[in-house]
Amino acid sequence: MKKVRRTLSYRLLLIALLLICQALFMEKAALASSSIGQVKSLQFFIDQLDAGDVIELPPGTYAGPATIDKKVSIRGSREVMLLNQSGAPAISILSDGVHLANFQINNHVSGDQSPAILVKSRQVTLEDLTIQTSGYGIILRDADRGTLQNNTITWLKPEANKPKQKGNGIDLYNSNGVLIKNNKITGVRDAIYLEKSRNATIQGNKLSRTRYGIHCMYIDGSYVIDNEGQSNMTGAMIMGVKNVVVSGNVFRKQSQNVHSQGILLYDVRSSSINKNIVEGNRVGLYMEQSSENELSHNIVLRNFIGIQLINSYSNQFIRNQFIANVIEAEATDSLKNEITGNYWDSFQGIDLNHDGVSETPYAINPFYQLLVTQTPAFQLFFQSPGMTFLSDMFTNGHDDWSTDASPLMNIDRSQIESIESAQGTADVLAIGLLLLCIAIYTIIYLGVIRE
Amino acid sequence: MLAGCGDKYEALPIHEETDICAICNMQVKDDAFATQLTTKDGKNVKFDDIGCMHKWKEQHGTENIGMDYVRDYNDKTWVEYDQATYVYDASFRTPMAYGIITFKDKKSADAFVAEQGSGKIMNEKELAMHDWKQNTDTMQMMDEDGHMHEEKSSHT
Repeated sequence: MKKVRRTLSYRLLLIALLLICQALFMEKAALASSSIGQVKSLQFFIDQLDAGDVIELPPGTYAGPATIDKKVSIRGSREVMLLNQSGAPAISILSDGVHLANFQINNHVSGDQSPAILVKSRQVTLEDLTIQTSGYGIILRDADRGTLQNNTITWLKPEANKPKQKGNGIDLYNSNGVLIKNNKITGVRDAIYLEKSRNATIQGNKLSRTRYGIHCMYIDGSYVIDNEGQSNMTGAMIMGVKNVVVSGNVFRKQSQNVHSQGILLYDVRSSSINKNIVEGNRVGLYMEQSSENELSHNIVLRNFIGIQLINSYSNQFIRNQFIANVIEAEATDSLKNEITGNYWDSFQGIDLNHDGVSETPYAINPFYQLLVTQTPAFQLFFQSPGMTFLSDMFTNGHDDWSTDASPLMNIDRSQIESIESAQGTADVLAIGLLLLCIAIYTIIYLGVIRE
Repeated sequence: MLAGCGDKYEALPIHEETDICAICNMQVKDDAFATQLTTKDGKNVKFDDIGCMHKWKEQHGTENIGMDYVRDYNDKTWVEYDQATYVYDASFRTPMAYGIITFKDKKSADAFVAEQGSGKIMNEKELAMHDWKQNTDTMQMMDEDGHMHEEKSSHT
């Protein structure tokens, strides 16, 4: 009797499963047929609008390309999909003050130049868009004071494609005062590329699996704050900029490429790089030919090389923490930097007056870096006894070494704890609760009831 | 043997995965802007923009260079530096904004300038006199133009 009941229940379960599968399949098929059946031209729709119109796109599939040359506001919904296989931009915006929100764009092009959205006008707002592209995502040209927020941009083709065929997620040229906030960008060449643009604000974006997460070229007076980058070739590539604030960003696991870095600063002047976290990168912070910057309160954690300075002078390094890096710091040709009050965890100082600051300085020995720059193959001798011995023997030009005059004796716990708690607890709690529920379910239904 | 000597230097292919510019650290893309040189002791150095190669030469001198190469804009063949034709215009976009595009012969350079409607054609000798200004707008206006104006006004 028991056996019959059990087989019956198995059969019922199987039937139910099949029914669900069939329903899902039917729905998909229906969706596909409807999208094939009723593809409407977006351009036709836009042509019906007058300047100043605020409209909602009815659900359905639309075809690009389309050009918007009047000030309109178009809002879609989750069921609005714009397909573009034309090779021209899916949407070109030529009029000031255009507002697009909340729909999907599937930009299928072969050439890498063609974007999903091309903006050539001012004060354009693009928000809540979901863009899949095999070219560029959003391109702004001479487009001042735009707002791009809460958009998702992903690479459309399979990962096998080499980065050379990829376009950038958001690409700015000669566009000032643009706000780029809370976007999610994955898999493209450079997630956010800015060239010749002033006063941009790049805030709270999530960038992963790209070449460079944020790539600034020749920027003046901009803010790069609270962004998160993971598994990019380099997190932030900041080049040829002045008066930029790079603050509160987190760059983790930039380490797949032999040239990966968390944050790279090249030819950076009068900028502030503070309160960033670089963790698990090949190089945490890399700085070359940069001067008069302030680097403070950064946490440099578990990188292969914590910080690398080349030919950089007159910078301030204050209250940064270097923890669990394989090589903490390397510095060559970098003079007149003010380095004080940082924490170097491999350093053993002497604190005679118990003020938490070491009385002996921490000097960065450039021997190994000089050696491997000239002959890269010497990296094979990394941390071999001979290399350590030679390094210790090397005191040539000791007065010119980059030196922290007053290194901290202890970690500044307040900073570290704030990261770890924010990161861990929520996840652990969720997983714990899930496990608890599963356990209760198994005990009651499979144990107690069967009994 | 003699032919062997002549072929002592050759341009190496660009590997986008691992090649970065020796000056600016950017990835060297396998495109027409890539340049490279080989030193007499056999070390190969790659650049993402001819301007970066110029900077390297300023830093290291040119005595130890065995051969240096640029690429034809149209077909990406490697051309020896002193055989190439150069076109400059501030409006040309190149990786590090030096605005110089290279061609294997003057004919294709002429065609490019005619098509673009702008561009100054130079040979290697004329290029040596070039000011290597980066077209970076903010930097130029603040650093170079700004200074120039100051200097002019202080003289007058």
